[in-house]
Amino acid sequence: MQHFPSISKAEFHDGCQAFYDTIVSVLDGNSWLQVAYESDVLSIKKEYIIKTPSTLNEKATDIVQHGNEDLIDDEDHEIICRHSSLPETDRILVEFSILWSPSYQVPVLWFTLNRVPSGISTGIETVYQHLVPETSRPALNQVGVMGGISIAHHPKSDLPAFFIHPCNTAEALYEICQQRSCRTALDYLVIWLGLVGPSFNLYIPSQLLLPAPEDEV
Amino acid sequence: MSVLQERVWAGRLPLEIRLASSECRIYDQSDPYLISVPRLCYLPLLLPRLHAFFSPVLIADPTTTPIYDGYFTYDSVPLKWHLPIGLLYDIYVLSSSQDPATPPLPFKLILHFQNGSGLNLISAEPAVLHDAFINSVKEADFLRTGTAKPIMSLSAADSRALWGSVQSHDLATYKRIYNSLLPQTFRNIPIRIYLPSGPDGEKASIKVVQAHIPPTVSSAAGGGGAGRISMTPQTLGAALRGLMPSLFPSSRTPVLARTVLHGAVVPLGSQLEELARSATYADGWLGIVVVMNS
Repeated sequence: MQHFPSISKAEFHDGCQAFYDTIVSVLDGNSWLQVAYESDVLSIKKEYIIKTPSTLNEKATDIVQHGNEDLIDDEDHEIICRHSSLPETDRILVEFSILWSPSYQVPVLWFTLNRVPSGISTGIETVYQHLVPETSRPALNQVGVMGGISIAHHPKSDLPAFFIHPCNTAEALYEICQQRSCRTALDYLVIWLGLVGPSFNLYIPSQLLLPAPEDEV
Repeated sequence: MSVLQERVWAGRLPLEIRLASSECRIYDQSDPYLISVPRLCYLPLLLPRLHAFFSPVLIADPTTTPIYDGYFTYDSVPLKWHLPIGLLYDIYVLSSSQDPATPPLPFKLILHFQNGSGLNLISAEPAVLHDAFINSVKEADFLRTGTAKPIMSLSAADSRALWGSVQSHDLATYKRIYNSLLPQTFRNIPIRIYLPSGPDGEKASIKVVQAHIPPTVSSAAGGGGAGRISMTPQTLGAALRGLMPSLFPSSRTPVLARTVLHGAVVPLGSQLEELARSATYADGWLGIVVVMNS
């Protein structure tokens, strides 16, 4: 890694290819539905199980009728849903794509929401409500005008897409890597995804985290 | 230099905006909305007054037609809401105008509220536009300084005032805040080159070229001792020749194509750092449009 904490376009390409090659072999049985690397874009499709608003509303009404109003005031859907014996769920397919930024010279995480069930907004509120774990919300909300997630036209497809603003990526990587070694472009991508992914419950299969065999020096 | 910035900020563009005929109650065509706007302004900022102006002739119920569902097309091409109006004009009109001395004016736009053709659009709500502007400012900042520290250290009030000054076209306020972002020496030039496709190409496609371009280049010192290297300012022509040698075989003469910035031809010998200090769009970017010589 010549320019760590930045990554060059060529290194990014190598890293994505290595990431793809490694991950296809361990893909079975985890939540990564589909991974592809084509035309400088590493894409990952993941399905998210979400609670539908109709379910939430029914439960809310139910509780109100039983006079248990403090649960509603709490506005915590998790608590409300715990009362449900059979929670109704739905799914959203999220297509992540990782692109190299020519300005920042770091990877940028883009994503689009697909197959959004009717009655659920395709806007940023759905992202915060259903994709971002509660623990990550405050940190994401602190940055920028709309929080750490922005909306723009995807650089490759030109379709509307969300992206995580990359201006702090290099600095964060630098801090992390004082504790961890980052020798190869694959290391770099794994560490980067470990940094950005958890905000969306996007986790790296543990096999990718195992140390490389000794004879690879 | 600030004279140049004042000239850039004084640049205006006359617009003639019509409501899409499929969305208009009047069969023939309703009156257009005519306005002269700063070239640095953004189209979605016009939507509230356009929504009010066209409400009486909208087929759809104006009270349930969201203002920011509005989008514009030129020659049937949907325009990118996050680009300044002047840059859109240079890309779509000037680049294909026959005679650069008498460019076609006004800039004739069609306003739509219904997304009939299944286009993938983003509603340019005020927060979305503000966010896109600030992201663009940050990106330019990162290129100039190598960090996003200057913009991150702006107070929230100044950050809001920067965007406010663009909306109200208040150069004095803008300058006070924006100049605090400019470093003594630039690390890279925030520049994007727009290459509209040729007449046979798809008219909606624009190629954007971007790279890290430092403000100075090393060159062998003329007349000095052997091997002496000195730094000379990077010119627009030298940068373009490096990026696109087939389009710009010479760094001094526009052999095949010329370069347009804010509606005017900018000489290839211009020093990029000077341009990047005084002649950028409000977000800090130089948007150079390449126009083929006919």
